[in-house]
Amino acid sequence: MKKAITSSMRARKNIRLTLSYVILIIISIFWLIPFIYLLAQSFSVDTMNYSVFFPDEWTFNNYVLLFTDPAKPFWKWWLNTFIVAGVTCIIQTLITLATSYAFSRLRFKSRRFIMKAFLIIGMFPSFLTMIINYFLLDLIGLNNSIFGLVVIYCASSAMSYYIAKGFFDTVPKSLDEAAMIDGANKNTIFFKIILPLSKPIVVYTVLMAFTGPWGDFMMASYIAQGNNDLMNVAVGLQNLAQVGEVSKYFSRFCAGGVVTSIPIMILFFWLQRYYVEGVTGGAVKG
Amino acid sequence: MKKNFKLLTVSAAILLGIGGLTSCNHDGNGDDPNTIVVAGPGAQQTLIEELISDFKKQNEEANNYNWVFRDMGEDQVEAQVPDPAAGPEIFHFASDKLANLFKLNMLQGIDKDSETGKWISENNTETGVAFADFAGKYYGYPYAQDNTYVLFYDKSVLTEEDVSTWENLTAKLKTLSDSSEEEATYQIAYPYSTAFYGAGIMFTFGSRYQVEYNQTTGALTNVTADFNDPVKGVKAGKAFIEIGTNPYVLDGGDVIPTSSGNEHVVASVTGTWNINKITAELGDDYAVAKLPTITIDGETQTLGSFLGAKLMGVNSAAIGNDITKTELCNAFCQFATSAEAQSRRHELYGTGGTNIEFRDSDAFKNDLAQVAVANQEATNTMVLQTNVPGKLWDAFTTLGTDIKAGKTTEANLLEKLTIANNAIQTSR
Amino acid sequence: MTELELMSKPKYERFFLKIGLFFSRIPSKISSFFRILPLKLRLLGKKIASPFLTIWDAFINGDWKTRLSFLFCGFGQMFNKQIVLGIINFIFELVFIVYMVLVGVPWISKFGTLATPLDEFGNACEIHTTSSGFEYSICDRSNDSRFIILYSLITIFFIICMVYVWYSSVKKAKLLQDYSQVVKKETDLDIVRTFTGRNYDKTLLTIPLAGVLIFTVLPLVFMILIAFTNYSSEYNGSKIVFNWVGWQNFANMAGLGAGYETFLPTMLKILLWTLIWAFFATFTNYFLGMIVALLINQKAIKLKKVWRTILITTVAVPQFISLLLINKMIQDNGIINNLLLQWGIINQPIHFLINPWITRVTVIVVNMWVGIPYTMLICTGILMNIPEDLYESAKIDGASPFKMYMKITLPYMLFVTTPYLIQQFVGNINNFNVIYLLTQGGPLTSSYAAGAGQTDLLITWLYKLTMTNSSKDYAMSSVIGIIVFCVVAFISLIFYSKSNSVKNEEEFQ
Repeated sequence: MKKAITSSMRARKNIRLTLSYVILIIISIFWLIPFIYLLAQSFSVDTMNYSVFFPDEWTFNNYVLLFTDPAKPFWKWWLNTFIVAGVTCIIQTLITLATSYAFSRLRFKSRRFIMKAFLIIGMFPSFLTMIINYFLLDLIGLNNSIFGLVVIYCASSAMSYYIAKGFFDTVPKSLDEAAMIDGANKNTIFFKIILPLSKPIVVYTVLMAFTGPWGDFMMASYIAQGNNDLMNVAVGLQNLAQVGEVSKYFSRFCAGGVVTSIPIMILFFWLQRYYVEGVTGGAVKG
Repeated sequence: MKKNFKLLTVSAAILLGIGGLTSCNHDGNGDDPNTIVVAGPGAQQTLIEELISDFKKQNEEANNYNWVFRDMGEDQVEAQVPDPAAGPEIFHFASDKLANLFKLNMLQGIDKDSETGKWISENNTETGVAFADFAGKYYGYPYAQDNTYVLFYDKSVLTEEDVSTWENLTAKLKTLSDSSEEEATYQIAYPYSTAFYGAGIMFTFGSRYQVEYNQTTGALTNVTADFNDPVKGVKAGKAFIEIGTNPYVLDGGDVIPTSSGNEHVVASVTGTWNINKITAELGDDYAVAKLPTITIDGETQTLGSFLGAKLMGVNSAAIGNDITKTELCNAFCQFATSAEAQSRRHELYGTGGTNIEFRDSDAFKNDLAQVAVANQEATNTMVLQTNVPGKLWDAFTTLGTDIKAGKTTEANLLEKLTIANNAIQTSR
Repeated sequence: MTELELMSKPKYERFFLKIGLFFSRIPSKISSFFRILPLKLRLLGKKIASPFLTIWDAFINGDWKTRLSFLFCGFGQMFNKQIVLGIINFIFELVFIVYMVLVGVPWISKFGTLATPLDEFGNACEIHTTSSGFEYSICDRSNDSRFIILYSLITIFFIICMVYVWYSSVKKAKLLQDYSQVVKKETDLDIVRTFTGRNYDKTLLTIPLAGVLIFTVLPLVFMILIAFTNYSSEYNGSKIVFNWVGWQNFANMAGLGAGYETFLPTMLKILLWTLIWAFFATFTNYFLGMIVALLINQKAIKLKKVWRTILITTVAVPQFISLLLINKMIQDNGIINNLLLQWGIINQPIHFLINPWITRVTVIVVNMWVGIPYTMLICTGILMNIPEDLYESAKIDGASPFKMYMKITLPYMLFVTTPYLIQQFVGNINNFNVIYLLTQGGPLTSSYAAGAGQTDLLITWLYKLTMTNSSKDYAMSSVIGIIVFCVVAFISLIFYSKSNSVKNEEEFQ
C-alpha cells in the first residue's frame, strides 16, 4: 500500500502542508497584533502617540504610575476586583453547581417549569435590572460597598446552569443507583461521588466565576458612583480610555491592560484543559 | 466527610479573612454624616486640596468634618452619579449640565436677595451670573467663563494675517505643504464632528435657537431654531462643508500644535484647558487668536463658538436637611470662587475667571488666550451655553459625521439642515 | 411513498416533495390542534380548580383541628406531632400580619396613584429655605414613586407567599387528619431527614431560587411596570414625581406620540440590523472556526498546542481591554490608519468608524477575531470524537478531502453543535460588549431617533437611552427591552422546540 503513494501525491501533500503553515502563521500574527501593540505602547514615554506602532522612547514609568498615582489608583481597582472575584467564585460555583445538579439528577414537579422560566428570564437585557438592584442593595445597606457586587453576581448565577447541567447529564445514572443500593442518601451521592468525577466542570465553573467580575463595568460603575475607592478594574480602565482623558492616559491604559490580563492569561493557560472539556462537554452534548 | 469538611472550613476561612480585610476601607464614604466629599476634575486636585486646607484655617466649624477629594470631571457628574443622595456634597460642573442636575435634585438654590445671592451678582461678571441664573434663583457659584475655544497656533510658521481669515489660512497651509521637503501635510486641527465645535460653525451667520422654559421646574416648554433658514442656515452649512471637506483640516480635539513627525498640525482650535501643554510645546512660538473669519456667498463673519461656564454646586440630595452642612458647603463654595481662588486657579491652570476683581488684574489682562476669548466674544457670533436644547448635540454630531463621510453635500444641504432643525425643536 | 422511494429520487425532487408534504400536513395539524383543545382546556380547568376543591374539602370534612388551621396556620400540624413545623408556620403568619399592618398596607394603598405632587409643579420633595437664603429639600421616600412600586411589589410577593403557606398548612392538616388512623405519622425529625433525600431538590435550590427571585424576577417585574409610567430623567421620582401613563409609551413606540415619530422606523431598522448581525456573527465564527480547527488538526501539523494557545489569548484577555484597544486602533487618527498612510497604501484614512457600511464590516471582522478561538476550541474537541475508521474507509473509496469534509465532518458537527449554534445566535442578538465598546453603536445619522446609530443593536440602543442620553428615558427603554425580549423569546422557542437534543434528553441519560 505504501509503495502506491506516487510522488505527485506527495508533492500535493507538501504543498498543502506548506500552505497550511503559511496560513497558520498569518492567522497567528493577525491574532497577536493587538496584544503586541498593547504591550509595546505600555512602555511608551509619550502618553498618547498614534503614529508609531513601537514607541520611540521606552520607559517603565507607566507601570510605576499605575501603582503610585493617587488620582488614578489602579492598585485599589485591582484589589477591589480581586476580592470581588475571589468571593464570587466560591459562592457562585456552589450555587451554579447545586442548581445544575438539581436540574440534571433530581426529578421534582416544577422542574421543567423552572428550567424554562430561567431560560426565559435570561433573555431580558440584564441592565434593565440594574436600577432596582441598586435600590435593593440600598435596603440591605450594601449599596456603597463592593460586596454589593458579590451579592448581585451570585444571586443571578443560578440561571447559567445550562453548561454544567449538560455535563452532569453525561455522567451515567448507574453510578447513582449503585450508591443508593449501598444506602447513601442524595446528599452523599452529590458530594462524594458525582463531584469528584466532575472535576473539569467544577474547574470550568470556578474559572468562569472568577474571570467574570473582571470584565463587568455596568453594575460596577453603578456601585462605584465615580468614587475611586470602589471602582473595579473595568470601570477604572474605561475611565482612562475616555475621549477626554485618553490623550493623557493611553499608555497607562495599555499598562493597566497588561497588568490585568497577565494573571487571567496565566490562569487560562494553566486550566486550559478543563476549560476545553467544560465547553465541549457541557455546551455541546445538549 | 473529612475532605468535605476541610474544603468547607478552608473556603469559610478565606471568606472571613477577605471580609475582614476589606471591611476597613472598601466601603464608600457616602453614608458617613461627618464626611464632606468635594468632587472636581482630577487635573485641579492640587488646587482643591489647597483650598480645603485654607478654608479649614479660616472656618472653625469646617474642622469638625472630614473633607475628601473625589476625581470627577465637570461634565461627568450627572453621568457618574446615578444616585444623587450618595453623591458628593460639593462638585464642579459645566454650565450646560445645570438643567439636568437641577432636575435630579442635585443643586441647592440660592435666593437672589440673600447675602450670598448678592455676593454672587456683585462680584461676578454679567455673563457669569447669567450662567448661574435659573428658575428664579442662583443654582451654582460661577468660577470660569472660558469654556470655549480659540485658535492656538505656532507663530513661527503662521503670521497674524494668515490666521485672520479662513481663506488666508488654508492658502498658507497649502503653500507650506506643497513646498515641504519631507512631503509633510500642514494642517489645522478643528474637531468639527464634535457638536460643541460644530454648533459654533452653525452659529456663524446668525442662526440661533430660542428656548422657553417653565420658570419653576426648569422644564423646556418650547424650542424654536432657524438652522435651516435658506440664507443664514445654508451659509453656515456651506461653511461647515468647506471645513469638513478641506484636506488641510484634521478632525481632532485637544490637539497640541506641534511641528514634529510627518504631520505638522500648526494650528489647533481648542480651549484654555490645554494652555499649559500648548505653551510647554510651543515655547516662544506660542500665539493665540480669535477664530478666523470665513466668507460664504459674499458675507464675511467670524466663525462662531459656544461659550460655557464652570460652576460649583452644592448637592441638595446628599445634604438633605442638615442645616450646618448646608451653611458650611455654601461657605466653601463661596470661598473657592472668590477673587483669590480664581487668580490662584489661573496661576496654576490658566483657567479664566468670572470675578470682576480678578479680571481687572494684570495677570488676567496679560493672558493672551483670555484676550483672544474676549476678542471672540466681541464678534457676536459667540453663543452662551445656557439652556441648550437636549437634542442639539446629537443633531450636530450627526451633521458633522455626515459631512465627513460625504453624505451631506451642497445638493442635499437644506434637507439635512431641516432634519437637524426639526430634531432640535423636539427637545424637551 | 416510503422512505426508500424518497431516497431514490433525485435531490431537487426530494426538496420539492418535502415542501409539498409540509404544506399538505398543515390542515391536518390545525384540525388535530382544535380537536385536542377542549381536552387541554379541561385539564387546565382541573388544575386550577384542584386547590379550591382541596380547601373546600378540608373545610367541610375537617375536624376541629383542621378548621382551626384556617385561622391559625400550623395548628393542625402542631397537634399531629409536627410541633416545630407547626410553630414555624404560625410564626410566619404572625410576622406577616405585623408586616402588613406596619409596612404593607400603607405602601400598597399608594400603588394606584403613585406619588402625589406636593405643588402644582410636580415636586416630590418639600422645599425649604434657610435663614441665609439657601434652599434645601426634605425628600421622603414614601412620596417617591420608585419606592412605592418597589415596596408594593415586595408586599404583593409577601401576600402570595402567605397564601401559599396558609394553603399548604390547611392541606397538611387535612392530610394528617385523614392518615391519623392509618399509618405512622411523620414527625419533625422525619421531615428534616428527607431534606437530604426525597426533598434534596428543595435544599439545593432554596438559596439559588431566592437569589433569582429577589434580584432578577423582582427587578424585571418592576421594569415591566415602568414601561407603563413616564419615568425619565425629567420625571425621576426624586424631584418630580412620575405617574402611570398606561399604554402611552407603546403608542409612542409605534410612532403615534409627539416627538417620537421616528422611533418606529428606527426600531425596525435596528431590529433588521440586529438579526443580520446575529446571523453573520454566528455563522462566520462557526465556519471559519471549524476551518481553523481542521487546519490545525491535520495529522502532519506540528506544534498543535502552540497554535491553539496563540489563538486562546483572545479568550484569556478580558474582552473590554481588547475591544477598547481596538477601538483606539481603528480611529481615523489611530495606529492602523497612520501606518497605512505612512506606507503609502492609502491616501485618505479609512473611515472605520464613520462610514456605516465599513463600520458594519469592521464590527463583524472584529467579532470574528474575538469569537473564532471559542468555536475553534469546540470544533477541535468534537473533531477528536469522530471515529477514525469513517475517514479511513472514505479514503479507501477514493474520496477527496473536500468530499470527506462535506459528507462526514460537516453533518456530524452540525448535528452535535446545533444547540450551541442556537445559543450563539440568540446570544449575539444581545451581544452588547462587541458593538458598544467598539463603535458605541455609531455612526450616528440624522434619520435615526434618539441617539441611535447604524451599528446599534436593540440592546445597545437601550443602554444609550437608559444610561447616556441626556434625557434618560427609562420608560421608553423598558418598552424596547420588552420588545427585545419578545423577539429573542420568539426565536428561541421556535428553535428549541424543534431541536432534537431537547426531545432526546431522557434517552441521552
